[in-house]
Amino acid sequence: MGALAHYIEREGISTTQVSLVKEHTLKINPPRALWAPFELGRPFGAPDEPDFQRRVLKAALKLLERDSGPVLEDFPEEAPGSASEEDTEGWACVVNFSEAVKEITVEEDPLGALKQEMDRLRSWYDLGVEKRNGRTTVGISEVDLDILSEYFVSLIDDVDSAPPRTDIPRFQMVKLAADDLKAYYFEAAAAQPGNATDKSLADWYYGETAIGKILALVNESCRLSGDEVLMKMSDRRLLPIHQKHHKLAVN
Amino acid sequence: MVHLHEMPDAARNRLVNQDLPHYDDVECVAGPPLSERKIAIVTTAGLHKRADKPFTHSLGEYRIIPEDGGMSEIVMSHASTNFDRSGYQQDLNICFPVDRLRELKADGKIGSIATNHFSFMGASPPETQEAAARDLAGILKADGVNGVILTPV
Repeated sequence: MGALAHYIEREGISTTQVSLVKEHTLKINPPRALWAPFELGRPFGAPDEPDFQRRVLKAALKLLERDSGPVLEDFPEEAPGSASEEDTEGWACVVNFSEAVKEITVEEDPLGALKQEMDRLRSWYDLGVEKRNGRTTVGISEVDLDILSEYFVSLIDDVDSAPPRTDIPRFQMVKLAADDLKAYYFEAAAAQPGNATDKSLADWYYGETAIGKILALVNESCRLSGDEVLMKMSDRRLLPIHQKHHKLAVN
Repeated sequence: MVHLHEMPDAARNRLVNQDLPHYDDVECVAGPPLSERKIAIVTTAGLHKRADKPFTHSLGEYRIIPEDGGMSEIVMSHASTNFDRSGYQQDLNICFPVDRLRELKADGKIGSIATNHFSFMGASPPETQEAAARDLAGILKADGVNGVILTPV
């Protein structure tokens, strides 16, 4: 990102930035930067914390008034809700189980298991969307979630199965499908009561759900596909580094 | 969870030590006080309108996010899985602080807001973004922008 600052500044416009990886900022040496000690993905600290976000933004913008650089300042505060491990214990996503309905397992019917799980989360997902006045981050693939689920599960046995969109490369279709499903689950789980953190959400999603198991199976299919792009994706684009322990054991 | 210091050593070292260009020659353009500036957000979070084409790795292109557009239609097609997205799902301002910028304008802390904001996808080699960034600077100048806040993800 710091390189963009150089390119824009050289055309005559002042730039400032928030930096999350100080080592990168020191290497790239942009004109003005505010280093913030927050998690990757959270450059303004924490969601729904407008006062805190405003302090970060003001601190970064204030650097615009410096007319010699490079300037690299540290933001002095930790993000609100930077919870310790102890604080996050106890959160669990409550899926709407019913004893009257047979539990479908991924082993016997992956698509059935996925649909059952997604149905059970539906009311939570809807509640989350309502709370955010209609905003959802699902829909990046522009494919209906039912069709997307069928496609994603089909990849377990056949990475060449017909994609729902043919106007984008296959690897991108696989990635967007994975991202859309993840967005649906995360939004649903985050709508539940309790202090769900990104760690507890990720641990639940990758470690305790049917979609987590399916993702590990798709990851493995991609790894064994013989397709160079899908093979690369399997190690880098489907499972985050911090959830790699959910990869299938490889013989 | 995705604090750098919490990542496995190998992954953190790979991220921190990736090959990046160094720029010795640092331009630093002077300008008016913040309260008189017109500000645009340029993010590398891979954000765009839902109907826009998703980002493709390494093309160095950008997407336009109109200031007066519906921010509930903004989605993310970033290639990386290694940063938290739950914050963004809850509140777009965590990586694209458009509401905060509007508040600063209302309070008179900044002068005005650009007609459009812009989004790249990080995780692309910086040099692939140079042509688009220089082109973008011309567009920003034509809009009277004299301050850019760059935001990562």
